[in-house]
Amino acid sequence: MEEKIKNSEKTTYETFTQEEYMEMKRDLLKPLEKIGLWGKVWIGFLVTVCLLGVYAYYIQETKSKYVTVSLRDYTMWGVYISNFVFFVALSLIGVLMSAVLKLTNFEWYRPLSRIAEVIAVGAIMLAGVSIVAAMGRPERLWHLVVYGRIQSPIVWDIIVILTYVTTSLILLFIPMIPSMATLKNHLTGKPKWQMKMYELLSFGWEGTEAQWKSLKRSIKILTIMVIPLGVAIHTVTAWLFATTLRAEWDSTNFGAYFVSGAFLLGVAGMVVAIFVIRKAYNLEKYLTEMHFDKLGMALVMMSFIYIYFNINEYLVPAYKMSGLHANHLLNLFVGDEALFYWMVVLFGMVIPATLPLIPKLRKPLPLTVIAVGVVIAAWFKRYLIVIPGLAHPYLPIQDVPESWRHYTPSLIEMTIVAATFAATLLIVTLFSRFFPIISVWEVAEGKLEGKDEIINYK
Amino acid sequence: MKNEKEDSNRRNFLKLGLLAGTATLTGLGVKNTLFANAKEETGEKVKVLTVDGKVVEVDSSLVAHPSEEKLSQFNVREGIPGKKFIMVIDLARCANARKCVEGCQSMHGMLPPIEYIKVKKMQDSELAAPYWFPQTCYQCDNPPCTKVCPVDATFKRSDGIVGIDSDRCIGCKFCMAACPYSARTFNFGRPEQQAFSEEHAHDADKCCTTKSSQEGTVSKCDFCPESSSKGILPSCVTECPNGTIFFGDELEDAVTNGEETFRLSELLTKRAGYRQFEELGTKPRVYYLPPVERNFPFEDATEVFNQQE
Amino acid sequence: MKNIKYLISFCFLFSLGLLVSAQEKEASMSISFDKVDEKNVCNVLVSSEDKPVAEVSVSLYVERLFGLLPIKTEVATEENGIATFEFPDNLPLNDDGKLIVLAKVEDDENYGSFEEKTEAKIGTPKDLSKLDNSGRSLAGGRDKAPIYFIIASISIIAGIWGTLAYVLLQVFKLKKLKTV
Repeated sequence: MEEKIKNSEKTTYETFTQEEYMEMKRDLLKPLEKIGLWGKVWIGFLVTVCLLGVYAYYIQETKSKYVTVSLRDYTMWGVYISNFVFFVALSLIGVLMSAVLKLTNFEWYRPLSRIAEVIAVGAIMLAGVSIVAAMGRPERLWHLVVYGRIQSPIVWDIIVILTYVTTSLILLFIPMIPSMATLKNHLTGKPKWQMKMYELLSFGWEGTEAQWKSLKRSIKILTIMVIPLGVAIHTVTAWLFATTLRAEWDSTNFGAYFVSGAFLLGVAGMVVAIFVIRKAYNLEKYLTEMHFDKLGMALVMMSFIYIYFNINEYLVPAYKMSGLHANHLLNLFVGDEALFYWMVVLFGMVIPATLPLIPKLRKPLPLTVIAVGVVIAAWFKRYLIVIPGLAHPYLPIQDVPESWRHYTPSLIEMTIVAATFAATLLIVTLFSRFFPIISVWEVAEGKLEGKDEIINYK
Repeated sequence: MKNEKEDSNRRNFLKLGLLAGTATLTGLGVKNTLFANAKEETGEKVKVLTVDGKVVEVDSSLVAHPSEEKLSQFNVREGIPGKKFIMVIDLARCANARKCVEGCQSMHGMLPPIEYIKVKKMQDSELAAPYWFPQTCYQCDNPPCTKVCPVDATFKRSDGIVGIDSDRCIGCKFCMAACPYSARTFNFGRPEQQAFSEEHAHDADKCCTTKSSQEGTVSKCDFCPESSSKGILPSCVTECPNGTIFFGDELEDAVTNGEETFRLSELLTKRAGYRQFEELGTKPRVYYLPPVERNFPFEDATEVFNQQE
Repeated sequence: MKNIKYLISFCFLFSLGLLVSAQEKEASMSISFDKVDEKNVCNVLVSSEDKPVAEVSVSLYVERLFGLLPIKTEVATEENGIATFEFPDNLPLNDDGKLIVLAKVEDDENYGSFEEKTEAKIGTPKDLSKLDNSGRSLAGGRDKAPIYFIIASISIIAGIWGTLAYVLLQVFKLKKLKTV
């Protein structure tokens, strides 16, 4: 470690003048230069979906929620909450793909870390939006500040989410300071305000030894801190459920179960993200097949960890089949939700745990197909955690209208959920249009240090 | 058991009591408004009952809407001093007449299918006999709902009641998720309900909670504390034709269904009172007396009440 | 004409009054408390025209918030006109430290219905400790969070945000680290 720091101290900004570095820089700055037709269509599409979501939310808040939303007294938490859990899980991608790999010296993290952190920032922001969409009285959000009770898991969750957003933003931003200087110096044909922004955000970066030393130290502190924070954010989210007395949520396993699920989702999300980014921006040289290979193996490992926690979560209570659990579990295993449940098990756990064991299936395209399945299954998995459980309370549901028993999300709800997805993608897309989505200096540094695992992978 | 005539006598008496109570409330309202800032006179005279039962004519501008008056007098966050309310439900007496449900709905200005008190058909096992199970909010002494509330909008009061401050509730519904008894209901702003609430917002005979249940907030059975404090029983108690529900002050060691009054401690000892899901540690303030030696044979309800969306 | 009407109605009312008084004689009750063999006893003496009345069934109640709690109902007075009730010593007293005890005679064929109220100081004070919910607990209000909980949360939050602030400060110091 000592050695590495000494090395990096020598790695000043001015060191990167060799041709290879210039080429690298050209490649990585390319996405910022011009937005092509498809790029515009894509952004236009995302903006449209977001606006539709805003409109749907407007309808939801101005009309009666009994009409616009399918939530009722028993299933009072619906897709908004399961979507919230999904996005919190997705935001752990930053912890795994940036911090954990960095600290454990997996050098292939270098081109992935910034992608992961942007997704993390976008996801956690939209997790917050999902929660607000679920609130009955969103205009009273400020009550949390004036009347907040520290004993409430919701308050913990809000504190830890705010902390995580801030930490992720800083962790995204600090390694970007040298990139800002690169942009300031090398990007041409951009409006004045944009150049001014780069200048401001580069904080007078010149790449002096002292600056590098300070920067690396900050990054290290944050990288270490973001790991427990990430675990905390998802554990606290699990506690929103586990701190209730409902049988299906009343589990000591819940925090670890959620975190392991988030890591699996993180790997799958990363596979999908780099597949799209390398295709869209022609970054095959940096996001290589090696990354897919490694991520494929990570997918297998995370799947097995997740399966382990799922066995603890479902099969152990199922073995006992106590009266408290029987309703809910049988409903999942052989009841109304069975098909749904087993599809999630298949696509969300069994396939990612087995298929990527075959090397050929760790190539970009097949692995991405598997990963897309995992991401979709992960979303439905959260749905299955939140909703069927609510429909099986301790005391039987009797003498209520049909819509109170069975929850199917309304069009308004689904539009808002779609908009949260679009907004996350929009954040990532716009970010990649203003800042290099792959950290130039981090990749170059890896190369300079002779860690050419990145480039020379066969 | 008692014959029908006695029964109806009791009912009439209770209704009279209820009326008198409402009149007292109205009277208090008038008294307060008389001292309040002078409003513009309308010239229109209305008759109102004073505290001592006299009918007086006053200008209509002086009569505030009673529910508003009651609301302003009644601080939902504070318990009634020196009281600790408790309820005992005798399962042997319940015949699912649903009068408690209707009485409660009418008192709180709610339309079906919203029920603060529900009557459920329970059968603990195949061989066990089915029984009717009236269920309110249990006003737990270790409430899981107040534990999780992020803004202190639901809280345990000194009089044992778990209150809801609708002006503060942000509608996160965490308390509903936390309640193992599904006792809470959320105001989703059902159009029929909204229209009804608006129409009846100023009815004098409604509980103040009519107003306090706002759209987008949680509400539930609240043991009707503002009438309880004046010695008026909640309407689920008075409406029951079979005297199933007993209500009282634990500190006085007495519960009553309006007709019969028992010592709480003796009743619970003699009839083996229990609380629902004791093992959850919520410590409910509602006790059940087991459905033994029933007053009625169990008859399955043929009518389904809440099918309309 | 008018006088006659007046006379007739007077006669009618008078005879009605006689009739009523013939059926229901005036009676009164007095309640007293005593101790017999360490046990509290409540004696209700029913008398009419200063003479004790026997065979009148008396019920004894204690006033509670929502109604009358029966101590015992329908106890007949004996020859000396006294109905004896065993009175519990563990009834919670009212806030003023008293019990309002009510003796009632209902629909007696000779004396009709009448009642008598008195105050007694037999019982236990209300257990007001049950009202106390000022203690700190997880279920308590925002100002009643357990101390250990507040300390733990504040130290965790302060630690993390302190680090964040420190790191940000380093960023703003970058400019100073430029080569001059």
